[in-house]
Amino acid sequence: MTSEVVRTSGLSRRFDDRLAVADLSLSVHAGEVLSLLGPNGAGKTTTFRMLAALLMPTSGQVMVAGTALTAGSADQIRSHVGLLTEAPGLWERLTVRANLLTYARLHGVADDARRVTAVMQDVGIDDRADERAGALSKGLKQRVAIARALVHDPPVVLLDEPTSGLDPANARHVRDLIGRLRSQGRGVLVSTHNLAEAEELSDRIAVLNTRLLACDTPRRLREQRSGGTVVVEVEGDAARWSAVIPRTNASVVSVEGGRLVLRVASPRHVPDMVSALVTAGARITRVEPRDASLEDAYLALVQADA
Amino acid sequence: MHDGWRRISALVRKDVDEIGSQPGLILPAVAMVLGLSLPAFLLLVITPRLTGESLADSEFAEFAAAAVTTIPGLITLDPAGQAQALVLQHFLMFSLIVPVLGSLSLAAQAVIGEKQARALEPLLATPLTTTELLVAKAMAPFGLSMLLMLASFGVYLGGMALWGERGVWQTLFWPRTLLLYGLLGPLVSWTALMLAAIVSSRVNDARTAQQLGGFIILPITGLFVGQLAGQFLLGLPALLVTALALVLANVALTWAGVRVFQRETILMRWK
Repeated sequence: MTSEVVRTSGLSRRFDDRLAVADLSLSVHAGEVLSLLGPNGAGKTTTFRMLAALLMPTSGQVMVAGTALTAGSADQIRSHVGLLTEAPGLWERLTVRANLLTYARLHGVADDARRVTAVMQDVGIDDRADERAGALSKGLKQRVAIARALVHDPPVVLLDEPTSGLDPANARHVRDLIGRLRSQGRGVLVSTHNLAEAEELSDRIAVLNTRLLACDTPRRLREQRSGGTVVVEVEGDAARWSAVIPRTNASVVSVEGGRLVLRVASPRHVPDMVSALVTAGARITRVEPRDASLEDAYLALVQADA
Repeated sequence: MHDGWRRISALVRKDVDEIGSQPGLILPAVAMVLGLSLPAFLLLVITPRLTGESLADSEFAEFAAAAVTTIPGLITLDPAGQAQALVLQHFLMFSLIVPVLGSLSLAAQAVIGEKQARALEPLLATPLTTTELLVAKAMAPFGLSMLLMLASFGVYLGGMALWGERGVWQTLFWPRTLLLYGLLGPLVSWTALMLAAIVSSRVNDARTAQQLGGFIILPITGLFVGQLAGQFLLGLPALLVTALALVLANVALTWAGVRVFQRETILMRWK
């Protein structure tokens, strides 16, 4: 992992009497994709807006590409950040090229025409450059909006629900694009409700519900939820062996036909538990750990916080 | 170029392109210039020709003769020319409606169009400052309104040169006329722009913002009708006082506009 491009520390934002984001501390490195998961109203968009210097925090610090967010540095921060907003927000009467050229000029990009051509090629819309933005499909509009976020070549990219409402092919294209942004060394934050997408894309996932509930790799988040769940398959009805389990260092989570779903305090207790079952006469056909899905882990975190 | 002006010019260029792509905005503006000029030509040129009555025989000629002391330029014209020039001056006041309506409709569209397109958040995510955003949103409508006003001036100038009494077209270069077009027109246009921008932040329908025009158009129309009915003409001092009042109003409105155009206000309160 290379240098840190985003760091927040104790970041909070209040709107009147409503706390939208509380005490959020996280970091994103160059070449890393961090997904923000959370229910609606969890503070994801507010977090993005603070990172993009659109909103000032009520308290806490934000550091983007080495610049601390203050009232005086907000313009500089905005030049370090590319923001894909929830709605594409294109000027539909203008061509794709005119849309992007305007943003290149607003950002003060040198050789703006060349840069616009390059970024259109990057996102695969160069063949639509002279079409009116309003004539494009939803997927292509989203690509134009992504090109707009990249036109000033920012080290940090914030993507608010980048594949929301897209068909599978366009969603795949956007996910591939996010992968390329990572390989270009940008720090990428993605807000999404699509857990499978988050798992596929992300180096780490942050679960947010006003405050940060967890931030780790997808695998570790799943493992934390799995917490030593083991499935034991036996011949015949498994329920008859459930009385044996309390004598071991395990507990019964559920009985599903010929399967006992057990929770063990530690993986080293599994041989003792299996031995106890065999001693009691169970004919075991299979023992396997059960991984929780990211959805299980996410829901457990959010429900525990509710 | 200074960074701020570069950003403003980028957005102004975009707004001009967008306005240019909407014949529905341009054509009514051109029709308005022609439509507002028509009553003057009807009264000053067409009616006298159709009826065979000279303006020299109308009551306007008496008032024009009386006005020679306050408007010395009239003395160089014959009685018909004096009457025509005097009435033309009334209509010039009326033509201030052109920049007001132009500014209102274009500015309301410029701001509400961004809201409807949900284009404000991406714009605010650039280094553009909110004051630059306000200035940029005002400049394209302001420039186009000034062009409309110039077109209105051109219509009067051309019309009077072609069909007016001898020498009347030259009265369009009197200090009073130049003050109207060169100072009051831009000032009243800016007033309309700031009002449109402020109201546009609160509504989602350009027509609602444009209806505000009544607040500015009514006083102008009242002044026009009052002058015509009372046969008086606001002189240079009165126009200068009006200009001063407009400057003060514009300072207050621009201050209010800058306050409305704050990033957080736009993001969180503009609906």
